[in-house]
Amino acid sequence: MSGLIRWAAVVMSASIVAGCATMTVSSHVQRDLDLGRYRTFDWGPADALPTGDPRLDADPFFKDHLQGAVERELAAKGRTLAASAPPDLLIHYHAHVSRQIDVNSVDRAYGYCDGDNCLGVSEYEAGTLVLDIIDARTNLLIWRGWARDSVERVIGNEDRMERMINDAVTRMLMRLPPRL
Amino acid sequence: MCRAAFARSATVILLALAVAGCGAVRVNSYAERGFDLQRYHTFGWGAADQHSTGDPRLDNNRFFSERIQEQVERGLLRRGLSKTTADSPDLQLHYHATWHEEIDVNTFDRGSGYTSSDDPPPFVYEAGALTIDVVDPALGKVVWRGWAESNVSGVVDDQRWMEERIDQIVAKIMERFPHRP
Repeated sequence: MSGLIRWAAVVMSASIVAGCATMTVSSHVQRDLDLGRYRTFDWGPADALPTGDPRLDADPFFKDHLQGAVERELAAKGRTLAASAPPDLLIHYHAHVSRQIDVNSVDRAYGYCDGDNCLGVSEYEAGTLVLDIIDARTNLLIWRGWARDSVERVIGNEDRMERMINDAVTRMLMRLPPRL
Repeated sequence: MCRAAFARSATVILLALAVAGCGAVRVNSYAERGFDLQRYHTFGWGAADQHSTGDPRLDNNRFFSERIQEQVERGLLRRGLSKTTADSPDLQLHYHATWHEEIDVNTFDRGSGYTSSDDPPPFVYEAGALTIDVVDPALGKVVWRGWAESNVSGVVDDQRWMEERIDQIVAKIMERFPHRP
């Protein structure tokens, strides 16, 4: 059993390591929700919360690309961007960047560990992108999706950022209940 | 590349561990001297917490906040108190939740009471804390506070599991709330 525990801990840590760049995607949804009746959407009021990273706050590419990706995905699901009439759904996003701690357990797992590397603790930048879908009539959150990943060397690099946004948005919206 | 399947099964194993040991809920409470439940009949929620939980997945997330509130209410209804939306309940409730990462250097060592070179490496886990405050608005004072801390790694990413953990943790806090004699 202790071998199993060790293995589990090692792999668990490995999955958090920045270099591995595993994107974690998940969502919360209102139970027993009839999504079929929502036809149109629009962007909700801009986010008042800071992202925790001035480079992202000041990056127009990030916002444009993210909105474009979400609009494309929703259009593919048969939802239209409301032109003049009030929308059925409001979409809202929040991006957040923080320093995360990583312990160098991978080295140790593979036996590369020598000296200080065994207990090495490093930091990396983790980005979380949260996408909210709100019922425009009740103003209640009906679905929230998020994606988290290491954004080391991504912020400031348009190609990497574009790929990451596309991947995140596609995988988040794949989790929407089938009827939307 | 990133052995997602491995990570998944490892997560499952770790979850099992979390339930068994390191996920234990540390819970405590404090009651104002002379706090007598008999004097109170109604409760209501105070203004929502404006502080961040520390985790963007949980900020302004009603699937998280409403579950906590429902469970707290359940504990109070069981005490014979009733919920009111009136401006002046006898008891006003507040809660604050935080979520952050912590490093555990040697949990397992402590658990088994010895160390060896085979011990697992340090690992990062998600720690959650929840505080529930019960205020007597007439006194303008917190008359009861209960709180809990726990390892909640991976919990938010699984809605059903998150709900179960909230139920479990809030129930443990509310167990400590006084009963009517």
